[in-house]
Amino acid sequence: MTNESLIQIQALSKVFYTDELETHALTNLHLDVRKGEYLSIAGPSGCGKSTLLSILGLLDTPTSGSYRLAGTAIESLAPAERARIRNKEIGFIFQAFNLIGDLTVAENVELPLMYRKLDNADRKRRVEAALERVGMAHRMKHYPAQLSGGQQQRVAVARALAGEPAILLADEPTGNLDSKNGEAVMDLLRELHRGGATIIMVTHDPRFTRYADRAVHLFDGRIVEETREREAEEKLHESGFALAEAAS
Amino acid sequence: MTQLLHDFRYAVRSLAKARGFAAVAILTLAVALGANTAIFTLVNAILLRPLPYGNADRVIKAWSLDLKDGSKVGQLSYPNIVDLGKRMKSVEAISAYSGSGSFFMDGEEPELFEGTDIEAAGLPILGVKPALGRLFTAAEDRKGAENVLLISDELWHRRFNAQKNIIGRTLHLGTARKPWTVIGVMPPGFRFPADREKVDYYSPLGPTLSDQDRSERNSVWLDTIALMRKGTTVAAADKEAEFVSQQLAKQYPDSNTGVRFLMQSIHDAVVGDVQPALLTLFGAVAVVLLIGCANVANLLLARAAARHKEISIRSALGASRGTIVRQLLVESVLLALIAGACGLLLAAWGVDALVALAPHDIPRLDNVALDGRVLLFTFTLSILTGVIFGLAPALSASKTDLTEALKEGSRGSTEGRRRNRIRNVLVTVAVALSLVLLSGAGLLLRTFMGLVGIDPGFNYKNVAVLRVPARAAYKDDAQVADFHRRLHRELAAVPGAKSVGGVTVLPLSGGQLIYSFEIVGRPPFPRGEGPSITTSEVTPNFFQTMGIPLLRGRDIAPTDTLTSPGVVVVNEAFVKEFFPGENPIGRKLAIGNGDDIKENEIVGIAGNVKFLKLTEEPMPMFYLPVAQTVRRSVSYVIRADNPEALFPALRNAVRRLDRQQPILSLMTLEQMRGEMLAERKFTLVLLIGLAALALVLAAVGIYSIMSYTVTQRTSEIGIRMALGAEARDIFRLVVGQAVKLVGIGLVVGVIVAVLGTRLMGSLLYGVEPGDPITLAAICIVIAAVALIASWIPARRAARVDPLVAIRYT
Repeated sequence: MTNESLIQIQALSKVFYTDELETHALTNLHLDVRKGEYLSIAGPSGCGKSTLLSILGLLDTPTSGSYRLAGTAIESLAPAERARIRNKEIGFIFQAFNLIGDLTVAENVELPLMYRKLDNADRKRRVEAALERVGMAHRMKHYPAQLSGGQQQRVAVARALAGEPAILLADEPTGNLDSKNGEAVMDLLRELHRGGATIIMVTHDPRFTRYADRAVHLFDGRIVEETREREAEEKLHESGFALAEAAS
Repeated sequence: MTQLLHDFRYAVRSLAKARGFAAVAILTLAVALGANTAIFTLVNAILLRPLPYGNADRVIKAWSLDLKDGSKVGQLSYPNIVDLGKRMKSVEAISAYSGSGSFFMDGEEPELFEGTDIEAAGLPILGVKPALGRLFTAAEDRKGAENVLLISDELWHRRFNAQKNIIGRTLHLGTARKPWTVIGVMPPGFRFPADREKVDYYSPLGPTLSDQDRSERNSVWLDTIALMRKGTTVAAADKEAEFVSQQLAKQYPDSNTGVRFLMQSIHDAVVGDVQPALLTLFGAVAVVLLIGCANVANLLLARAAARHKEISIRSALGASRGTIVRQLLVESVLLALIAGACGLLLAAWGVDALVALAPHDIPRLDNVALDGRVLLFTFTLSILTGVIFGLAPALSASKTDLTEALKEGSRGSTEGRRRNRIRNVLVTVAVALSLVLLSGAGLLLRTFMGLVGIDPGFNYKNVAVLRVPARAAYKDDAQVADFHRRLHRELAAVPGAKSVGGVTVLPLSGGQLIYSFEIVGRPPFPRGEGPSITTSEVTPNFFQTMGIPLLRGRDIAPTDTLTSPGVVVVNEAFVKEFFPGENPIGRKLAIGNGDDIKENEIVGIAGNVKFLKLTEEPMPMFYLPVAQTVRRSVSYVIRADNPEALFPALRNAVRRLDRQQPILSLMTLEQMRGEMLAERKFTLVLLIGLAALALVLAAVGIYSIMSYTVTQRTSEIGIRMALGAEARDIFRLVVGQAVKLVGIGLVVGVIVAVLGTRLMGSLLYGVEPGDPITLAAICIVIAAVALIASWIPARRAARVDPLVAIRYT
């Protein structure tokens, strides 16, 4: 991790308007993410985690406030430029994997590279490297439906990695996996982080916040708590203790 | 049965719930089934329904074939007909007949009655009995017998209010007002020949035959029907006719060498000409129905995908695949039956429109009506349609893999590829079929344009045609010739008439006059090899009025009369064939049949014209002066700036000359040309209509599949956008898929069209089946339509909000 700031968010708010209802999903958020940092965003359901991740991933725009990614002000960009940045700088890992059923494993991983208009050989090299990295090179020609959930998520990680993005955004990456596969995916993310990747992960599972350097806790669209790695681990123990107590 | 009823009830409920889907499917199928029913109604009435003759299956028509050039001359001479009847063992009876017409003079205005002169044996051959009265006797069919006739049921109702006392009543026919006794009324719906638009009366042929007609084998103007013995086939009768032809050729070499008589069933003789066009249309509507089936099958596949869960639950509860297929098929057949009923209503209206549009010379058009057979056809076709479009979706939907379904539901991957493949195949098939249909229409359009563009050798624009038969008061040739000479002068004096000519047989009118000839000063043509030349008889100024160039020599002159030496104008093709490299002006032709041969000096050479068909090659012809041959009926051609405006003045001119002189017809040459092209135009208009319908259905199919695909792939599109795809990448993705499907459809369609359009070779002129220019143009049209059809779904796809798409995966 360096001190170089990769993401700077200032006074960011997001309001959804539906009919006569105004929902404040995010309110006056300030957040800095450094290059190589592993940040976890936690909070209960409906607190605004996914909205924040969507804005970070340029899938959505804030209602107010500023967002700078690698020094570039994002809010004023045209859709095509946002798509280009999304393609080059951001890798997504979704809870539902979101692989395309009609494409093979290799074609799924290749997809972001196609939009970057890389040549064939370069694409092939990167696809093979990404799949090697997640241990799925031997299933290159399979279709998603032929893989287990854990394998599909590893392919999704490979797809996120293939474009060598500046930042990996993971939205509940273990949400659809059993604990064993969930651990395996988290190990994979930790390994990537050790290799220098910047990761922002949304999770509501306190067990996985310990993998992060830092965790921010959202409640009602505001950051209510920010913890460092050690504090996070302690919190994990506390919650584990509380869970054990509750179970007994 | 109980299960089937249960399925039926469920199908009704299920369709009632999915009203939008049901409405689109029913509308699509109703249009296609309605078009099929309407065209089948034509096919049924014209081709399938037996002719209304008791002996329809045994009646044959005799033709004569010129073996020298293979052309079907058609008519026969009376002695040859008699010999065929005597010598052919396969034939029980034979009869000559001929079309005729007479003015009915008992009304306020003379009315032209159209009739058939037929021998006494003729009507019994057909197996018809009069509704009132009796048929002719043999005695009434002899020369000098009292004039008797049978009238049609239609005339009886129209002109005589169906009065029972019509039998024995005297009618005055012809300009000579000769008395004719009505001896019977034919049954309703009877008409002979069946390909005539109307026949008002039937009279004995015998009294009209001259001694020359009865003995002269070169006098070929009679049509012939015969009754085959029971158990004889048309092929056997034809074979025997060939044998008799050879016998007669040996016995009468002068007239019968190179003549072969052939036999054809009366049904084929009546409808044979329209059969290819009707079958082409029938094929075209079948293609439209297949495209409709492909579209509805696609809708059902989409619906099956939405009902995947329901079907999975049924399977999980123990329903066999067969049970599910049956239930889904009951639903599709129900849809088709409702569509069939709607189609029937559309057809009832469409048939009236078709009959109104159809040219009047299409035989048996007045028989066209929805009947039991049409209802049975529509019912059967509806059930078949339901099975055709329902089977693939039913089989696909019933192939439920519950585990796979669960996997698909939980892992965020897209719908199985199997159903997509079927949908893609269906769209490809629809595109291919529309290409085949559009190619057919395109080829007919090019044929039609080719025919319209043919230079007939004369200028058909701005010419009125007035046909006048000199009435019986003009008794001899001199009086008739004088009448026409005066009428010519009278018409020429009509203000606005720029030029006036007369002719007995107009080019492209369907009529033909054939003369034999020898070239004076040359050895006679070998026996049986003498040319028969198409001839017309004209007045002075005919060539000028028609815009036929006179290339050398002079026109027929007013001085060429009955008493002056015979003259003739030949055409270019005649000179090329019989006087190559020579100047024929001044040479003489001995023209005529039998003993009636006259020498005529060639005085001029006219340009070639298309005489019998627009598509014919220039053929040798000559023109004789009307004043030297003397015919009662002459068609006057009057060139004017606005010929229709001249009609009242032309009628007045005739009346001024003779108040009692009837006019046979008055129309423009362009109208006559329009009637000649009407049948092709009718087929073309219908085929273009069907092709347009096919194109619309194919476009709807492409739109619906692309639209469905976009909905189905919304999450995929969202993922792609999240991964960096721009709007234009998504647009390209959707349009690209459409282009791929359409491209495959076009390739398949081109192959099928190249092979399929060969079947319509007889309808084409100036363009080959599988013509590359036509196919290329059609491909461009379809590709453009496909692009437009995929445009809207593609734009919708490009506007997908990736966030929403991913969130609702």
